[in-house]
Amino acid sequence: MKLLNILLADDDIDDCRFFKEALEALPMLTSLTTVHDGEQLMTYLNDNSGQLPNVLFLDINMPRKNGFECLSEIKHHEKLKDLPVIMFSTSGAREKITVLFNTGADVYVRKPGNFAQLVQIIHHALPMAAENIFSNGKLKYILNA
Amino acid sequence: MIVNELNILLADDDPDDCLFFKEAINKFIPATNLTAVHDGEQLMLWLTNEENKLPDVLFLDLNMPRKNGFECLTEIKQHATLKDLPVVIFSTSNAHEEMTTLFKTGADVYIRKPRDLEQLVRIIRHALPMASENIVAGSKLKYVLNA
Repeated sequence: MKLLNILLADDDIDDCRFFKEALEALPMLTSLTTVHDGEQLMTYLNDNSGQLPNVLFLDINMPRKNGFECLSEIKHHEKLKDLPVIMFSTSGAREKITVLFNTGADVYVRKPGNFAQLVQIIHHALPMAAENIFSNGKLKYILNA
Repeated sequence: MIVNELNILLADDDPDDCLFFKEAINKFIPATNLTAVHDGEQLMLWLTNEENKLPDVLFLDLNMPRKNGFECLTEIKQHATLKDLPVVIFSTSNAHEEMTTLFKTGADVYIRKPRDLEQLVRIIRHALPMASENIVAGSKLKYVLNA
């Protein structure tokens, strides 16, 4: 079974713990690394550009550098631009979602209120993010709209 | 091996879109059985005919003659024996207000019809488990595919 390397950038410690538990409930082998602000994220990605994670879950409201700024840097960076990015936010504002998709996000997840829903959403989001690398026409997905 | 086929009902008046959908299902999504109806009245007659077994999921176009998709969705969700039927809205538009209303009325998944077959196959593959999970989960999640 292939190990899926997941990077989570989120400053909320409870959300990080919740996310880790949800991953453990999935029927797939995953390895999770977490960073807690945007600067830490960009440093991590630049230091590991030769061995990037399979997917990045990116919270929007983070200190130092927010998720939108990080997404924009990633998508303009020669070595990072193909990294699948799943935006992970508490808001469901449609205008914001459109801007994030136009900037290169693959999936937009509104953080759900309960654990079972989070497991379901991550389960759907992982193949969605991965498929966009292999296909020509990118599809955009909103989970928990 | 016994495979339980997934019964899919498609309500769409556009013959080209139906053909496209049929191709995606028959060629790339195994263990499915597709029935198509072509307007809203025909859909409601089909669903309320006791000789027909209810499908596992309904793909519902919005712009249809006689009775449009929104009217059908409303009737389905207020009908005692039909209300638990998973409904995937299948539309050409991407209007946010419309989506919100459809979700409030009881739609499970909103799909903006993609242009090519490969994308349609991908989307249907994602939508099928999403539509059926909402029956089990109780608290509903809402999904927009090809936003």
